[in-house]
Amino acid sequence: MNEPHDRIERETVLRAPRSRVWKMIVDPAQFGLWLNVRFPFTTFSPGQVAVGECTAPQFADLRWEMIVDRIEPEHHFSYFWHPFAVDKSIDYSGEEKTRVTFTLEELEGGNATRLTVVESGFSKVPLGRRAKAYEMNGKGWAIVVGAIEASVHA
Amino acid sequence: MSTPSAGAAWALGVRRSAPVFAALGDETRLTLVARLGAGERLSTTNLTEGTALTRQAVTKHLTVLQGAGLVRSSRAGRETHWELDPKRLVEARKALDSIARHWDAALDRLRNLVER
Repeated sequence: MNEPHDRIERETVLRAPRSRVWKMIVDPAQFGLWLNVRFPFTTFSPGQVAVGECTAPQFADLRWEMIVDRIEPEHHFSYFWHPFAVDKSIDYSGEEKTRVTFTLEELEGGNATRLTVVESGFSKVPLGRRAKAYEMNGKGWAIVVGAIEASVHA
Repeated sequence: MSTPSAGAAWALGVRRSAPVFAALGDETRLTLVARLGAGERLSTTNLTEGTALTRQAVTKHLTVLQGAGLVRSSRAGRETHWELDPKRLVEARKALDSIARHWDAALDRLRNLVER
C-alpha cells in the first residue's frame, strides 16, 4: 500500500445504477444498513449534527455522531466525525475530526457506479500546510515505510 | 475489531498517532526521518549538512520528532546524535491500516446490498 500517511482512499465499482448507490448514502436508514448505525430521523441536511446508535454487535451501546458537510445529489456526500470514537472513557470533543467523502461516478451508460471513499485529516496540522508539504515532497508513506524497513533491518 | 477491548485498543492507537501524523506533516521533518531511516545514528551537524537550514532550526525540527516519539537522542561529547525509533511509526501505520480495513468491510456490505 502506498497511501499518504494521513488519508485513506478506497475506490470500488458497484454493479448498480448511480441513483441506487446514492440512496444507500443519502437515506439515513439505508446508510445505517452498511455503516451499522440507526438514526432516529429520515433525512440528512448540510450542517446537521447527526446522532444515532451503533448497531454493530461489538459496539451496540455506542453513540454515532457526525456533522453532515456537503450534499450534492448523486455526486458528493461528506461528513466530519471523530473516527471510531469507541472508548467511552475518552472525551474526544477536543480532538480534530476527520472528513469522510463519498464521490459517485456513473459508468457503463448507467449500469454501474464508481464509488470513491476518502477519509482524510488524521492529524492536527492545518490542511493547507499539509497539502503544501505533500506538493513539495509527494512521498508520504513511501518515505516512512522505507524508513521503518531500513531501521528494522539495520 | 472483534471485541470491544480490541476496538478500544485500536482507537487508542489512532489517538496516540495524531502527534505522529502531525510531526510528519512537514517536508523538513519528513526528510529528516528519511535520512535517519538509513538506520545510522547521525549528529545534528550531519543532519544540518546539505540543508538550507541553520543548525538551530534543524534541532527544533528534531525536537518535534522526539516529542512525537519518532527519534531518540544521545550525547557524545559536544554533539547530539539522533536515531530513528520506528515503534511509533509502525503503530501509526497500523492505526490507519485498521481504519482502512473497516472501510473495506463496509464497502463489502454495501456491495451485497446494491448488487443483489
